[in-house]
Formats: sequence, structure tokens, C-alpha cells
Amino acid sequence: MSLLEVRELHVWFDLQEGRELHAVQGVSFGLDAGERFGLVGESGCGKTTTILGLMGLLPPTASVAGEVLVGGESILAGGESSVRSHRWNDIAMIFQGAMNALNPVKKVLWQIVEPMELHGIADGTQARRMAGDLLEMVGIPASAGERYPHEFSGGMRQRAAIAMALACQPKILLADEPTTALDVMVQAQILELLVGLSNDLGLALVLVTHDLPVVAQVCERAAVMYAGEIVEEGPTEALYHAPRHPYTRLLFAATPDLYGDEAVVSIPGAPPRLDRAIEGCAFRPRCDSSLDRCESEHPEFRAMGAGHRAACHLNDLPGEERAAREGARRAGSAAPAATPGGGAP
Amino acid sequence: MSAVQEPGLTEGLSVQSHAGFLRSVLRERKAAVVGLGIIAFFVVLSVVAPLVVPYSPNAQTCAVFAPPSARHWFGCDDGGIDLLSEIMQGGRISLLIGFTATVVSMILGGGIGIVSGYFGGWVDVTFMRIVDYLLVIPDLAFAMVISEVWGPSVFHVIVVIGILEWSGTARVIRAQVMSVKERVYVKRARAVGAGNGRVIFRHILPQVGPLLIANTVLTIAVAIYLETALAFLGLEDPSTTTWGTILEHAFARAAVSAGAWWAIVPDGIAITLLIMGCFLFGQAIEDALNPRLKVAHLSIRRWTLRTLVGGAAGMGVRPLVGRGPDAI
Amino acid sequence: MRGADYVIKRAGFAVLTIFVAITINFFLFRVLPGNAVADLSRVPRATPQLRHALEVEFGLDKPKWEQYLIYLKQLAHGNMGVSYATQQPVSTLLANDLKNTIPMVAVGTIAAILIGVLTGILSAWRRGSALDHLSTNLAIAFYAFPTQFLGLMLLILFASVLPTSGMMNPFVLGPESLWARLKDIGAHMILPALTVCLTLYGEFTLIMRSSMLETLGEDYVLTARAKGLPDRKIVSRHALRNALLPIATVVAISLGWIVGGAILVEFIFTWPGIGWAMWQAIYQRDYPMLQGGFLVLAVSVIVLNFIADLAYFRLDPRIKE
Repeated sequence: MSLLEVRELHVWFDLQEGRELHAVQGVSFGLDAGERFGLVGESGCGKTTTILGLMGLLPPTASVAGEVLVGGESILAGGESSVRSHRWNDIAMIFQGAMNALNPVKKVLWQIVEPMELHGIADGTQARRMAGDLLEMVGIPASAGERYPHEFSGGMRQRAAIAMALACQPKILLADEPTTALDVMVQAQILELLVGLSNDLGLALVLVTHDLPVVAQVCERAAVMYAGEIVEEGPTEALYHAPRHPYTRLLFAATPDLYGDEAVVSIPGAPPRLDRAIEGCAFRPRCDSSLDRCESEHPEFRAMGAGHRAACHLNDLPGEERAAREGARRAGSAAPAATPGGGAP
Repeated sequence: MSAVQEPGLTEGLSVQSHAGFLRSVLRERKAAVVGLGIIAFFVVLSVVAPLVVPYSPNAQTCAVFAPPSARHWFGCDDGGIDLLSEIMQGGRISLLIGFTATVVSMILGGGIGIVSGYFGGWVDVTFMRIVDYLLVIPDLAFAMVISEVWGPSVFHVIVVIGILEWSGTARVIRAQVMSVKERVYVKRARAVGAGNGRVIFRHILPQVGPLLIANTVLTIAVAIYLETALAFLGLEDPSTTTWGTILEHAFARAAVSAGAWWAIVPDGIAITLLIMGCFLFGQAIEDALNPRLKVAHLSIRRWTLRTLVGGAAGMGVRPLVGRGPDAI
Repeated sequence: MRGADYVIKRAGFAVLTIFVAITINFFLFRVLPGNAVADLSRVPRATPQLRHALEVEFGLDKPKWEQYLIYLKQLAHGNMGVSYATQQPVSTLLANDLKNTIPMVAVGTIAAILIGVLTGILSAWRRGSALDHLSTNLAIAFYAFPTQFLGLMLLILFASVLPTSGMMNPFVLGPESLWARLKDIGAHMILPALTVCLTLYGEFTLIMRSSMLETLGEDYVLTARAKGLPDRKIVSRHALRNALLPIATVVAISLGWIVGGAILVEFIFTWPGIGWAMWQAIYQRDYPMLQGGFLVLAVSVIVLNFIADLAYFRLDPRIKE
């Protein structure tokens, strides 16, 4: 049994006039202790909602279905009150934008001690000493804990946020775009720190990002999300070298090569709106190799090999034909791929 | 960083059309409709007042402090004048003063805010010092002094309120202009050689428009309040009738001890309603412009759990389209 | 020391604003059309001796810039001139008025802040609930009530129960105990202070509510929720102090407004404070008194603003410029 098991997670948000937005549409994945798992996709595809949803950190307009099992125990089953005792104890989180995740009017050490005292891990001097140790562990002198967040640099703040996440010795760490606002050097240091921590402490790490090189650098396995669904999941290597979904392939192609001066290709168009039912494959309008059946038939999520799964009709074709179709539409002419309202530069 | 398009990121708030924006505010916010309705009611009433007043607002038509009756709905004041007629007449002047003073303060505040924010430098510093002073100065005391020194007249009241109330607008508009100025399309317009006037009128003014409207409506409320307060203190031209002078007369001629509450209450409610209308409408626009009010991470209500249809309890299968058995 | 610069900067700003206030005060009365103080013919019951004394004291026969210097010099010595009406020094009279105004306005304002902050927090926390709707609508109504209307309503409603005029009962003679005197003043203070409180609390509620709503949308509130904190602790430990920050500014900015309301309240309830004195000064064309009263009000607001700046400084560790 996996340490964290997400089964068929759905999240809806109520909109006005009785409409609703189906932000997460049946996401399932699992991971073991010490494993690092990436959740990739463009913004607006439901990555952040997925991990907020699995901790129950949703607004009152949201409704949730599906199960989240931590060590076999279903944590969402009893709503907000049942999930609360698991927060930070079992699952901790590092938020997007280190800038605002820390309370500006409280000292950093206090903010690390707070969850320890709340969950009965430690209190008083002992808790303060433990918090100091955590700061040292992430590379901040313990004495800096007496300072306020605004006195820290962006990188230090993210380190402090990581120390805070480790306060209750959680088994699972969710990191939502942990390096987005940081410069490249600091990004690398933070990622290195996260990898080190998951190795040393056996932390299961879920890394949410739109930044593919980050996933390739950190995670053994990853899932690609599009329009609220996981469209492909597998070892990072396989996703990179042998993607079985056009979205994955285009996403990697859109990543600038650090050493080459090749023009960056971005995927034309924008993800579909999720407040209405989608017929067929959600990616079809932006796909460069779609088939006729993609318009009406929703592709099934199927095994492609060892631990590799994808949801694409192309996979039903023989290997050579598939290879021939890849990029066919784009190669033919640039025009059809660009949907109206697309954000192509 | 990947070059993947991020459709969620737009350049702050951009307003395509003012009419469209106002329509959406009115559609989505009940308070805006109520507020605009109240303002419209009083404006229409003021326009048609001379045609519909039941009695003369200047001549005695009933007994002194006659209580409300079928013929005089709001009763009569200390001079035997029908209060309903007097309030309708007074509203004309109060609204005129409130609206005109607001126009004066909007032109001053909007103009100074735009100039200050757009040009910066010593112009900005000078204006902002004046604004700082006006923000801390006790409005009513200042208005009292000026009205007294210049002598009581409707014109003076308008000028006094106009020069007192522009500072808040100037500050808000200045901040907005400074942020709009940094946006890409404005920089682009300047780079291709658009003149200052053109940039201000074509690019900046349209962006600060909704905020200016909200500010205008809120300033009307303040102007009406100041007018009635000055009149109540006897600093209005004694020959005019406004909502403020009606309260002043009632108080000065001992309506309280005479038990003539009707000389006070309807008039007071009229002032309160109009101020409330301005507040509801102006605040609704401001709230609609404030993206920070949309998210709340804490609420007494909670997210809810749903069971998926068509599956075993708790472990549902996606209802619309099937997924393979190895999906889990 | 953290923030010494900030304090010095704000203090410097306060001093500068006071100087501006003094200068504008001079111009209002001497230079602008009306030339109120210089026009001694407008002084009621003035004897030739008094006129002459005034002329010499304020240098009214000298050019304006010299008058300005004399005005500054006199002010520096605490001399604000002599009341036309009572022939007593304006500064003495105003000091006494201020002593009466402060407790009444302070009681009303502090009560308004407490009620406003409390209802604002509850409203934001329970956004969309019946309590929120009730509290918000009530706040809007009280915000919209003109001070004079609310005062008159309270006057009508409580005229038979509470004293409605003055600060103490002038007909109670004899050796009273201090306690009885205080009780009398307290009873007289209820209606004016209540009027001040009710006209202010609505605005504070609305501002506190929106400030709290903005704070509840901040990421650190989500962090606090993720830590597993119960709602009450999230509000008291994380949201409250951050949400209170704008309140310090708003109270400071409303001070001018509060003073304006106080003038109306003193006028209605004949409270012998500075607002009442200013109204009387207008009524009696007692320009030195009016000029002095206005200056005292302006300076009080500036000083209180400075205090609010210091409060903000205490609340927000980020300030250290």
C-alpha cells in the first residue's frame, strides 16, 4: 500500500447562476515514502487545485468527491474537521510565492513553533530549539529566527517556509511552484535542498510546477495534467524521451534548451473552459496530430508500458503510423493549429 | 522558465468599456441597483418638484407645527409651511449644491491627481503636501471659518466644499495613474511618440474612469453632508431652503420641545437615504474594482463532499466518460 | 534603533503640517477677501482703547508680511489674542474648552472603534451570513445618518430620561462630593458621546470588514489553515493584527471628520467645548476666538495623526525606513 493514495479526486467550484466549474476531473495517483512525484501542466489546468483539494484547503464554493488515503486512512471523508488533524502532521505544504506564505507581523521562529505546539509535538524551549535546528537544517542560522519575514531575502524566505513545513515531521510534502519567484541560482539551491530532504528524511514529495526542467531534475515520476485530468503519467525519463500524449510532447518542446539557440515553440491556443462539458478529447483543438474520433470520443487512460499510462487515441495506431502523424497538422500549415483567441506570440 | 503560455496572467485590471463595466456591476451587485435607484429617485423628484409640490414651499398653508394629516402628509413647520413641499424644494437646492460642489472637486481632484501621478517630480511633491494638509484639516471647522469670513451664500458653500473635498480623489487617482503609467501599452504609446495629452486622454483616463465614477458618487455624499451640516449651524444663506436649513429651523424654533418630530424626521431621512444611496452605489463600484476582496481562505461555510453518481459508495466512477480499470 | 528614522520623519512631517496650518490660518483671516481680523469695525462693542490695543498687538497698521511675523511670534508665546466677546485671552478660554471636549469625544470615538472593529471582524469572518447582512446594513445606515439628525433623534427619544444640555446641572448647589459631580457630568455626557459613537461606528465597521476580508484572502491565512489551526486561532493570531493595520490609518484620516462631528454634537447638546465655542464665536463675530479655535482643532488633528503613525509603527514590523 502506498503512503499517499489519491483516488478519483474531483473538485467543482460553484459559479453564479447555478453553473459550476469542474476544476479537477477524477485525478488518481499514489506515491511511497521517499518518492518524488511531479505534477506538470500549464496554469489553469488544475494542478494547484488538486493538491489544495487533497488537503481540503478549498473555499466554501467548492465541493469534492473521491478519496485521499494517507497510510490507508481516508482523510477527506469527514470533511474539514476530519482533515484538520492530518494537516501539517501527515501532509505539509510549501506555497507558491514565498513572499506571502509567511505572516509579515510574526517572527519566523514563532511561525515554525506554532504548528509544533498546536499538534502537541513539542512546546516551550524544546520547540524553539527544534525550530532552530530545522532552520539550521535548511541553511539558515538559528538566530535569524528572531527576525521578521520581510528581513529575509526571497530564497531565505522559501527556506524558512520549508523549515516550517517540516515542523511536525510530516510524511508527505506538497510543494506548489516552490521556485517560481526566485532567481535561477536560488532556484537550484532550493531544489537541491528539497531532494536532499526527501532522501534524508524519507519524505514523499509532490512537486507542482509548470517548469519542466525542474521536474526532470527532481522527480522520478510525473503526471501531466490538462483540463483537470491527468493525460499522461510515467517515469520522468519516459515522459521526456517517449511521450505518449501530444500535450506532453509539445510541452517538452516548448521548453527552451539552455544550450541551444533554437527558437522556442509554444503551444498555440489556451486550455478549454471547464465550466461546460467537454466532448471528445479536451486537447483536440490544440493538438497537432488529432484524429477524427478525437472530436467525439473521450480517450481512455491506459497502460503503455511499465508504470507508463496515457490517454490518447493515437496510441491505438501502429507505431509507425503514429510517428508519421505526430506534428502532421503543424507541419502541413501553421494556420489550422492556431485557434482563435490563442496566445501565440 | 518554460515558454508555455499562461492565459491566466493578464496585465492587471483592464476595463474594455465603461458602460459594460457599469452594467456588470449593476447586474452582479444588488447594492449598486438600490443605490442608483435612490439617487435617481431624488434627482427625478428634484427636477419635477415645482410641478408636483402640493403646496407652496414658502407660504403658510396650515397651522404652526400642525402634525401630519391626510392633507399635509409630513405635517407643517414652525411657520405653518407644508413640510412635504418644503423638503421637495429643499432637496433641489441641496442636490444642486452637492452635485455642483462634487463637479468642482472632481475636476480639481481628477486633474491634480492625473497631473501629479503622470508628471511626478516637484509638481507631485507640491500637490501632495497640499493634499496631506487637506486630509488632516477638520473639514467642517474649515468650512465654518470660510463661510463666516466670506459671508453666507450658496455659491460660497459650493466653493468651500469643492476645494475641501478634492484631496481624497486626487490621491486615489494619482496612485492609479502611477500604476497605469507603468503598463506596457502606455509605455509603448509614449515610445512611439504619443504626446502627453494624448497618452492621458486616450490611455490613462479610460483606465481610471470607473474609479473616478466611484469617487464622484462617494464625494456627492460627503458634499451633501457638509452642506446640511453648515446649514444646520446657520452658515447657509438664510433666504434659501435646503435640507440643512429645514433641520436648523426645526432645532432653532424648538421643534424638539414642542414634540414636533415630523419637522425633523422626514427631512433627516431624506438626507440619510441620499447619502446611503451614494454610498451603496459608489462602494459597489469600488468593491468590484478590488480583486483582493474576491478570495477568502477562511469562512464559516465549508466545502462540501459529493458522492459520484453511478458508482459504489465513496468510490465512484466518472459518470460521463469511462476510464480504464487500470486508472486507479 | 529600529525606526528612529521613521519617527523623526513623521515628526518632521507633523511639524511642517502644523506650520502650514498656522500660515493658512493667518491668510484666511488677514489676507483673503473679508480680511476678518483686520477689519476692526466688525468688532462688536469695541471701545477706541480696545481697537488701539489690538492694532498695536497685531501690528494691523503694518504690511502683511510683518503682520505674519508678529503673528508667528505671538503664537510662539502662546498668545492667540483676546476674545472680542469676553475680553479674556483666547488661549485660556480655548484650553478650558479643550478640556471639556476631549473626554466626550474620546469616550464616543473609542467606543466606536471597539464596536466597529468587533462587528467588522465578525462580519468578515461570517461573510454572507444573516449576521453579516444585518451588521453591514446597520453600519451603512449609521454611516449615512447625518450627525445633526442622529443627535436630534436622540434628543427627542431621551429628552425625558437624560440631561440634554450642558455639562453639569447648574442648579445643584452646595458642597457636593466629587463623586456626585462626576456622576452628573457622566449623565450629561451620555447623549453627546453616544451621538459621536453611533455616527462613527458604521464607518469603522465597514472598513474593518473589508480590511479583514482582504486579509483573509492572503496566502499566510491559507498557510495557517494548512497548519491545521482552528478558525478562531487563525483569526486571532494571523488575521487580526494584519487587518488592524489600515484601521490605524483610517482613524487618523477620519480625525478631521470626528472633530467636525464633535462641533455639531456640541452645538446640539450645548456641550461647553471647543466646537460650541467656535459656533459662539461665529455668532458673536469673535474672530480671534474663531481663528484660535480653528488652529487648535487643526493642530490637535495633526498631533493625533502623528500618534496614529506611531501606533502603526508599533503594529507593523515592516516599517523601518
